[in-house]
Amino acid sequence: MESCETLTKDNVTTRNTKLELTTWLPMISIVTALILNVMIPINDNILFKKLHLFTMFLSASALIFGTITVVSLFNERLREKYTYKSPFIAGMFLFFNIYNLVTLKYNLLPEIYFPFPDKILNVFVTDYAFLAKSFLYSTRLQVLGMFFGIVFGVITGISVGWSRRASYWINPLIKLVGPIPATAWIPIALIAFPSSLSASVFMISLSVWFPTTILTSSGIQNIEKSYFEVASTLGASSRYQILKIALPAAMPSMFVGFFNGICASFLTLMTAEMLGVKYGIGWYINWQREIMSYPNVYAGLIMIAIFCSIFVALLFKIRDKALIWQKGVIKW
Amino acid sequence: MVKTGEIKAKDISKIFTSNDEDVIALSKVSVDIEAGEFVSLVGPSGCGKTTFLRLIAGLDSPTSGKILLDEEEIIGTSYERGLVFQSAKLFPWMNIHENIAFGLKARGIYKENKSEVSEFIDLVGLKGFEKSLPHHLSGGMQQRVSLARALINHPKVLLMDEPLGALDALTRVNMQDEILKIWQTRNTTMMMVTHDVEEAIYLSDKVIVMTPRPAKVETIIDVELKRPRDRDTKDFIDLKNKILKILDFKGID
Repeated sequence: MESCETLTKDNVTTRNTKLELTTWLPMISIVTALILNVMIPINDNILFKKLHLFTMFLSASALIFGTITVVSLFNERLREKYTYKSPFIAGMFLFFNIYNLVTLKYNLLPEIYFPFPDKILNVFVTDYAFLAKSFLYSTRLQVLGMFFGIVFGVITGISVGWSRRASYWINPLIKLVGPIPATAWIPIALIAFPSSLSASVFMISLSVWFPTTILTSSGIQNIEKSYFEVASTLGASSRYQILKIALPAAMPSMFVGFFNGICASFLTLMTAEMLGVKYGIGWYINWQREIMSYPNVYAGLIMIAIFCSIFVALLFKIRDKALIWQKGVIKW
Repeated sequence: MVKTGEIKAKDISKIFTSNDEDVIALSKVSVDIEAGEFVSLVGPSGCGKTTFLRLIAGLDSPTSGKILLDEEEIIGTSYERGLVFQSAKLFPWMNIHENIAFGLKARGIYKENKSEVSEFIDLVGLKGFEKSLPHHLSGGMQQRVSLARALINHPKVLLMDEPLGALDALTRVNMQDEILKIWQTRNTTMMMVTHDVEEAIYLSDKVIVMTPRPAKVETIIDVELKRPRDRDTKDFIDLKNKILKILDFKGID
C-alpha cells in the first residue's frame, strides 16, 4: 500500500515536469499546419478557385485549443485531462497538415480520389442544408432502429438466457439469422413492410438485435447460480428474479451488446438507406459515390464518424450511470 | 406461543448422477431437530453436510425419503427457510439497505414493514452503512448483512453453510457471539455447517457428526454445557476431543 502511494506520487512529479511541453503540443501542431498552409503555394496542376476554408478551420482550432491551453495553465484538473489528450490532438492536426501538403501543395496523390481539405470543407459550406436534413433523417432512422433492436434484443436475450426451452428453439434461429448481411434482407424487407421507412428501420433494428440478444443471453447464463439460489430462499418469484437479479447482473454484458449493436447499425445504415429514402447520410454517400464526387463522399464519411461517436459517447454516459456499482468490482 | 421450526428428516438419500455414474451424496439420514434448537453439522468434506442443508433449503430434492418442517413436507424453496452461504453473496448492484430489504420487496410486503429494515441494520450493527455498496465492506460486515438479509423474513429456520469460514480468527469469534445473540433473541431454529468442531460446541445444542463414504450421520451429540460457554473448561475440551476422535477414528484424508 505504502509503496503504491509513493509510486503514484513519483508519477505525478515526473508528469508535472513533462507537462509543460506536452500541454503545448496541439498548439504547436496547429500553428505549424497554419504556417505551412499559408506559406507554401498551391501546386500549379491544381485548378480550383482559391479557398481559405482550411486556413479558417485551422485558425478556429487555434483559437479553441489556445483558449483551452491558457485556461489549463490555471486549472489543474483541466490541465491533467487536456495533457492526457494532447498528443492525440496534436497527431490529428499533424495528419491534416500532411494530408494538405501531399494533396493541395505538392499534388502527390490522384486528385479525384484524394480531394484536398479545402474541397472537403467546401462541401459542408455549399451543401450545408442538404447535409443537415440528411443528418436528421438518418437520426430518425437510427433512433427508431436502435430502439426496436434493443427492446427485442433484450426480450429474446432474456428468454434464451433464462428458459431452456426458449434456448432450444430460438438459439439456432439466432445463429442462422444473425450473420446474414443487411443487403440480403432488402427483397424480403421491401415485401414484408408497408413503407420504405419501416423496411429500413427493420434492417437497422435487426443489426442491433443480433449482438444485443447474444450478449444479453450469455450475460444471464454467466451469472453465478448462487445469486438466484439466495433470491429464491428469500421468497423471490421467477419474474422477480429476472427483473432484479438477472437483468442487473447481466447489465455489463448487455452494454457490450448495445455497443456492438450501435456499431453494426452504422454499417447497416448505408444499405438501409438504399431503400427509397429521400434524405440520409448513407444515402448521400451512396449517391455522391455514384457520381464520383469524392469530396462529398469524404464529407459524408466525416458526418457518419461524428454521428457514430455521439451515439457511442451517449451510451457510455448511460453505462457509467447504470453500472456505478461496478466501480471496483469489474474493470472495463 | 407455539414454537415453530421443527425439522424431521426421515430416511433421506440423495444420489447425483453424472456421466452414468451414481454418486451417493447422502445415505439414509434421519434426524429430528426441535423447534428453536441450534444445531451444527460437522464432518470432513464429502460427508454430505452441504447437501443436507440444501435439501432442507429446498434447493435440491431428496432422491428418497422426506423432510418435514412443522409436519409439512419440504418442496422447493421458501422464505421460511433462510440460507446464508460461506461468501456473503450480497447483490453487488444493490446497496446495503436494498440488500437487506430484498426479501420484503420480493414478497411485496416492503411498504408495511419498511421500518424493519433499519431495525435489522441496527441488529447487525451496520448503522450508517445503509447507502454503501457491498464491495466497500469488509468480509465480516458483508456476512452480517447476509445474516440480516435472511433474518428479515422471520424464517422458521436459518440455514448457514460455513457462514464464518472465510473470516479471520478474531472476526470469527465476535461473529459467533453475534449469531448467538440473534438466536437467543429471535428463537429461530438454526442449522449450521462448519468445519470447526470448537465453533460447533460453542454454539450448538446438538452437534451432528457426519462421515463420508457413504455420507451419513455417525452420531448426534447433545451439548449440555451451560451458556455462556467457556472454550477453556475441561468439559468443553473433553467434548471437543470426543468429537475429534469420532471423526479421526473414521479416517479423514
